[in-house]
Amino acid sequence: MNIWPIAQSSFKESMRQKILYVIVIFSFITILSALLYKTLAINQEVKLMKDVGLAAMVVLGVLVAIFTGTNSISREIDSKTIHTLLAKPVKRSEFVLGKFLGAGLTTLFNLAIMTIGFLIIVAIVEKGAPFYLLKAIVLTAVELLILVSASIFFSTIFPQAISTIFALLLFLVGHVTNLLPYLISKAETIGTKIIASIFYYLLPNLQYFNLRAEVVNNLSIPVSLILLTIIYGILYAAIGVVLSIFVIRGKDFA
Amino acid sequence: MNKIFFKWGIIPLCFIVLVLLLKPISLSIDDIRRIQGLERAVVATPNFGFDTILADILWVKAIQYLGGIPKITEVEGAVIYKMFDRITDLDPQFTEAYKLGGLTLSVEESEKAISLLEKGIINNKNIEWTVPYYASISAFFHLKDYKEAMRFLEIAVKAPDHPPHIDRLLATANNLAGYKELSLDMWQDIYKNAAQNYEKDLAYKNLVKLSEEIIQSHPDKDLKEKAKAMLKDVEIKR
Amino acid sequence: MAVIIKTEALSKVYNTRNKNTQALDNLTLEVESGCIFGYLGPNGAGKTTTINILLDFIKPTYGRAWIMGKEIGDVKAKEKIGFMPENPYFYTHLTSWEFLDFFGRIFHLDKTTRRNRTEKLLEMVGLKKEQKTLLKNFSRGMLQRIGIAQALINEPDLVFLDEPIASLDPIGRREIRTLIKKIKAQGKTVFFCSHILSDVEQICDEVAILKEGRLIEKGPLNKLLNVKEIEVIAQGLNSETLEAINKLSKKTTSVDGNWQIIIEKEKDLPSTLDIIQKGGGRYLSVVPHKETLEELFFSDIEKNV
Repeated sequence: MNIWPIAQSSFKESMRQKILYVIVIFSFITILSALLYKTLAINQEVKLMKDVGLAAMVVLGVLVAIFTGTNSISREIDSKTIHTLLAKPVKRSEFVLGKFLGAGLTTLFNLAIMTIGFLIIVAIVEKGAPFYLLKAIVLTAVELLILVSASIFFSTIFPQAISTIFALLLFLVGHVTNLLPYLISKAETIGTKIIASIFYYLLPNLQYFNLRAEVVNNLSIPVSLILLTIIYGILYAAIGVVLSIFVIRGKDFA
Repeated sequence: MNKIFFKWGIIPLCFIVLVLLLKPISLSIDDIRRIQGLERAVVATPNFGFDTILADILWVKAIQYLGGIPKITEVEGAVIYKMFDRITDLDPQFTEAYKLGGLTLSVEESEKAISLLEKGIINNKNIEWTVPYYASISAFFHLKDYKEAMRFLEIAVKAPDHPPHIDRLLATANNLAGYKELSLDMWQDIYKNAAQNYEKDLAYKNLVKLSEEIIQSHPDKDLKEKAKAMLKDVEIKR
Repeated sequence: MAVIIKTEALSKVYNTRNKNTQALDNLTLEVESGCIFGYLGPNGAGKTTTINILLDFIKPTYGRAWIMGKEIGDVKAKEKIGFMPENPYFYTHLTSWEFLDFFGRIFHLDKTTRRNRTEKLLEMVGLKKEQKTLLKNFSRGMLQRIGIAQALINEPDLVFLDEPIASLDPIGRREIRTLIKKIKAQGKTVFFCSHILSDVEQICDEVAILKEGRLIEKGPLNKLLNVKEIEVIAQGLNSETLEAINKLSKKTTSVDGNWQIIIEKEKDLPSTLDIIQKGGGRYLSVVPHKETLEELFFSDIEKNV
């Protein structure tokens, strides 16, 4: 299997891009800036900081996921490095899996760094180990894997700029899929109804991965829910990878 | 044949299996969320998953707004209610928002205050005692609706960490709402279990007052007897 | 010698919005192992398309092809193939050492083998000093050389080189030519695409010429190039003999007391020599002049217009 060396090379490539460091630094600044709201928030600055931190990790994580996802295959195709690779005994499925793994690792690595920074800051402020926050962050990680996989799938069909837009739209629409049944029932034209239905049945419900309010407010969340949600996310990510392999297999790399 | 299937058939097959697995999983996720009370209402403010952060921003804005108004009239009352309603739509577990909203509105807009605090009670199974307590204050002192006050106080006393004066308030509310016997029983309990001397004194005074009132004017003979017996019992113990 | 590459009626049609382009038209070709095979043609003749099909980057519209007996698309065939693309775009984020090591891992070479080969190849292409330099800091010539090195990491039996010389300066070109000859000396087959004829002429054993997707000429280089004329230098010719020679020759000129006789047809050579000897003269040298690859190329291209 050639998946691992390809993944490692991809990971190394991302790690040598400075933009990712900028993103991580930016996330720390955002988290710390929440402390400045102390006077505005009346006793709620710790909640505010946790909310801001978790949301910043989602925003920046999504940016990293979509950037590395759309970049990983587009770059190989555009710069024709894929020729050198495919001339070797590398199956196209191995190529896609390696690229997914590489981009996924990059995304998770970035999230992990932000998580460590965030937990340290919260631990200092709260004077205790805030490991309960990991429940929310694990789900964010799975959500980001879906976005990586979707970004890769889009980039097998469209140019990088368009793939980026689609992946962002997927993130946004994925968080309002619970509005779609309402839209379907109220739709005036049959076209709108069909499109809304297709979206409802095809798109992942990304709101499943948002237990941030519950976690910050220390509600009890059953482990089974977290596990099922993780499985749900991995299934969606796998669908994206499978579709990408299908497209890449039929593609000409002239 | 085998080879061709392996090359082109396996991918669609994987796809179909994955898609078929999704539905039962999403249904069980929905079930668990419903049972655990983690289901969110469809929120009118589009937030794309950034609900809590939006709630925080609105919270900060609400505080700035509250600092800028000298007196709460009907118009301001409506605005404040709307603000806190939106905040708690976005973050249904934001206890401080229910509390601040409820406190601010308790005097001038008691009904709105109660409705906001009740929303907090519905959205949070184990909410802290202050939320129903604040609601009871509005009902008790401003609306003089003692039955409503009792309803909230009964929720508040269920919280293990509630302070003793909630019990006394509940006993008083029972009395004022006309549930004399219940009130009598409660005062007796409070008297027995009081940890501090001033609490025992307070309970004693209320017990004597209520018993005398019952003995003088209550139509129920059995209750009169009960009050007499209790008064005797208390006097002996003292 | 065994056939290492075989194609059968290989064709590729590109469908663009309003026209179909026939990039490759019924290419039937066999390449024998152990030679440097020059694959010639003007830009757009279908050279890269052929390589792209043989390496399974693109699917042929119809036709079939085999490499080392395995039908294209079989990943196993690639175990023993090396490829250097026309434009040396590689992973610019890697150093040259990491780059070769990466491909070594793709071939599942163990650590020691990878280290040995990487070291040997960097030495061979003259990049030993640059082993820790990121490829993004490489010049074009250096990239071409690292490109050849990566093509050899698996010690292939067959190496595809797509325009390996085109964009280099004269020194670089000579270096690469030497490299290619070294590869051949190791018993490997080189499939060499180019439109620079002088390079091909200097190193190739066999050539194929492609034009607009069609094969128009193929064979060993020395057989393909026709003898254009034969030059005979002779001494001591009398006027009678000269007259007889003039009937056969194209041109006879006196050079420093010797005679230079140019004959166009090979069959006239024995009789010419006969006449010289019978007339009491003697010949000093007989040199056949072959046409150049360039002349062959252009005459072929013209024939097919």
